[in-house]
Amino acid sequence: MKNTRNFCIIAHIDHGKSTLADRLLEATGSVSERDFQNQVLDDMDLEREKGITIKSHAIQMLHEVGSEKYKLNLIDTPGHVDFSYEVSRAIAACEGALLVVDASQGIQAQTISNLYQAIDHNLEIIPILNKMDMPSAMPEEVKDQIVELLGCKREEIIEASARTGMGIDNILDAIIHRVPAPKGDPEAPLQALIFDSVFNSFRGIIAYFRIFNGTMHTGEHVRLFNTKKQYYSDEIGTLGMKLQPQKTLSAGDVGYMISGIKVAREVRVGDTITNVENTCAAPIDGFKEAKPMVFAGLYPIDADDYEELRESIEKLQLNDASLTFEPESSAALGFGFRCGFLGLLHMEIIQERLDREFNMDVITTVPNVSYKVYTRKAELIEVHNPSGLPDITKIDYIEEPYIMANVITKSEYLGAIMKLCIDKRGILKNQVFLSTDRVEVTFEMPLAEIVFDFYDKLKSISKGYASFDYHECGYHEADLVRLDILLNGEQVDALSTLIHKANSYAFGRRMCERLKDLIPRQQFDIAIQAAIGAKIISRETIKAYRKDVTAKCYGGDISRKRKLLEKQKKGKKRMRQVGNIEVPQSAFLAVLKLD
Amino acid sequence: MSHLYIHIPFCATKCPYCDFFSLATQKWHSDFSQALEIESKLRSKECRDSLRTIYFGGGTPSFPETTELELMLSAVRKHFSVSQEAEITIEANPDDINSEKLQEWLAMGINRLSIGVQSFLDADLQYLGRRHDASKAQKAINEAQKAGFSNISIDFIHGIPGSTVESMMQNIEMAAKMRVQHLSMYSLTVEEGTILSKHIAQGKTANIVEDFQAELYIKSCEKAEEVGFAQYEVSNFCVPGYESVHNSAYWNGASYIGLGPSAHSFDGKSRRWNKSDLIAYIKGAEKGKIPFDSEKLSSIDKYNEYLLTRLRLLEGISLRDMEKQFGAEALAQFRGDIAKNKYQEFFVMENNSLSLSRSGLLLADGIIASLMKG
Repeated sequence: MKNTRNFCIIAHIDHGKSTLADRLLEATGSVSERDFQNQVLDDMDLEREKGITIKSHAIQMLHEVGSEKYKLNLIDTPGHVDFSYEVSRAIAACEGALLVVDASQGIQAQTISNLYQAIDHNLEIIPILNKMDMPSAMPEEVKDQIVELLGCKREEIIEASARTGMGIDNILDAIIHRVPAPKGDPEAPLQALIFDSVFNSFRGIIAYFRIFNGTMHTGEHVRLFNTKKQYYSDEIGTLGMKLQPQKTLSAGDVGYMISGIKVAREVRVGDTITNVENTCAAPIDGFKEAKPMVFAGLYPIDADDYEELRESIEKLQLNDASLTFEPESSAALGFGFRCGFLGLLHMEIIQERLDREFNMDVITTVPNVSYKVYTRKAELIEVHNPSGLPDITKIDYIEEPYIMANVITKSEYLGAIMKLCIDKRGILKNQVFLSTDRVEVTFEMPLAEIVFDFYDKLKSISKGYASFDYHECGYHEADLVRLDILLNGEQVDALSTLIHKANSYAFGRRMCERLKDLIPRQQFDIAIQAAIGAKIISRETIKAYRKDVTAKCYGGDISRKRKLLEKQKKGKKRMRQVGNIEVPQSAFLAVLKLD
Repeated sequence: MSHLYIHIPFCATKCPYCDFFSLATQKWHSDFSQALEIESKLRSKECRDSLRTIYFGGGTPSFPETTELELMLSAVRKHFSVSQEAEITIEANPDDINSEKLQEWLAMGINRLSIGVQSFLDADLQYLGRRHDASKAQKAINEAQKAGFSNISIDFIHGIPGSTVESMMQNIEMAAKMRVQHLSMYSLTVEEGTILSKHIAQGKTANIVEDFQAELYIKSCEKAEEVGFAQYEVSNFCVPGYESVHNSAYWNGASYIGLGPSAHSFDGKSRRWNKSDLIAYIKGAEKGKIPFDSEKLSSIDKYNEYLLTRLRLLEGISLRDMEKQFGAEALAQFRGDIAKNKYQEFFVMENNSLSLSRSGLLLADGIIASLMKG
């Protein structure tokens, strides 16, 4: 145990975390050149493309210093606010953290919140100034920020470049000499933390864990503390570039377990593995149920694909326990599913994976948060869907979830960002200058407001120089209304939104304008209306087209024309019918991007 | 009864809006007529009944020497039986019409002229890049009548940028005044790949305006009726009794043979079309093999074509005929689909036939597409 080091890397997107991991793998000879591809750890295509880590990963490196052989377990963490719970579990499995900061960018909001988690868990922090080879590097300034933040000594900061290999040896030295060896009693009852799991279509769920106490054997009868389910550990082992089966693993080790579990739901991140007979006294602290924050309807583009969509979502859920779904139906879109996501990125990822891995094209409805509706009979109803809102006369009041949002930016963008947050119903809670031109602001704001177009706006007004992070901070009463969209008097359920009353007029107007652009002219006028209850608050009209007829139709034209019209008919079939109005898919997606 | 089309793939110059297969060349005229002679022979078996119509289309059939046309027509007469009263039409450019040609055509047995007038306004003709001017068009009609043609059709193109409702009304009045029997009025259409579409995209030429064309269409239909032309198809009008027998055959599902490159044929079950390639056509004929593509119509294709052609006719769909051809179920579904799409306002029910109203005709493509099967 004294030669084991468990550590993670904390970094902002693009600050070079994955490249640094690649260099460590190379330097320790853990990956042969033949197997090497950039960003070894991000094994989903989507992760490589987006340059972010979606799932946690782990890998063991063997490193010799003199006569001593060390086991270095790197636990790679997801790099996005949607996955902060997964990050916290990965951090809990480590004794040390490499804090990687881009020397040209400085510290970002995301980094800070993860860093605080690491400090809370008493991890040894090794600050690394990455991308030192960049001409735009400003090491002294960023070092100031790090010293300020960590209270560390300036010389403890390692200068590095994952790209050129600079500083990699110093980092390995620091891992060995500064990160403490794990503590724990190999003789105590088994107590291991699950920090992630992956689904393998041949072997089922592979759970990744870190043993805190006790020893685990192949074939051991184990129990998961929170789900209370029991399994046999058919295979356990360490995580090299491939799975490396072992007979036993003990306190301090990081490894995997295969036990014939088929669905990810049974292996919850944060759960504790123990022995059925020799049970540990308490589970490891910090377990939480994955709780969806954002909900949206997913509908197959072709109604016939409903069953296929169900199967695809079920398969995704096998390796993504945080995805929830239940069937729902919409008059406009037919049969589909109400899905719960950890956040917007998570939603985007699910959508993309459905497309790539299952070739399923879906329509996603306007996402919304989960509301608590208190009725006049003092019942509490959780509403995940605008159509689920009870009749207005039965509602006493509604509460919506709030978040504490941290934004770090250059001071020149502060004004614009303040305005954005205030427009989004934010209340300024704190403002701290991290250096002369970097400032951190904290806003309390409704989660619903960031669900829409907050990220995109933040990015554009700060020209990319703002980082953003949030955590939930409870529910507050809200003055919400349901905004409906009507096409020639018929309500389109899939376009309804729950929205703060103060924003409803402007929002309704923009919806009508946008839909006017997206719904093609048809054989009759189309009235687009936004309504709150019976009250119409905005209206646009799409004039009927006047002429839609080919002038000539003779011998040769008949087959060509038939094919043209058949194509036109196919196009119509892909549209959704609302009354006798054909609404293209794009109209349902449009409301997601209103500006 | 059957019908025959001959495609003459030559023009003196290409009109910028036209996307029919044609080459602006003086060469290959006689090679072509010889090839067509061979095709007539090769395909004579396809038609056992006598031909009710023959139609020289193009291209510009009035462009090659009459001797070439004579060669082709005599080949057709040799290999097919031609009815005594056959309607034999030639499409002619006003520029090519002179008393000598007219006499030759009459002598050949051609009894119907379709003159590409396009407009009696010089500004319109310039936009269209036509060879002739307005006075030449009038003169051509007069000469044809003098020569003895009593079944003359003229083509108009309306909705040309720069034209007005008034100028179009004058055109129609002029047609009536000149006592032509038949009028085809086409909205100017910007076809993909034409010079016109390129020029519009480059901003060199004004684009068509949909609302203007719609207004013109309704007003032109009304005007034509007012001056004595009855509408019988989306774009076709005539003095009663002078409907184009040949074109009506297309719209009523009759079978026809098309000779020449790019010409289409229909035998009631399949459609075939010769490739749009003159050289391949000539070489193919030499080897006794005309290059073509074909497709067999499924029952859905047949139904869709039935809707497409019949609903463009003012006569519309006879419910009895539809039931006879496609069964009671199809008829019930057709009527149900009209109701489902809330199309009642676009249809007229008369004498147990359903036809598109004038406002319906203006939207015929979208309506027909929605009612198609598949």
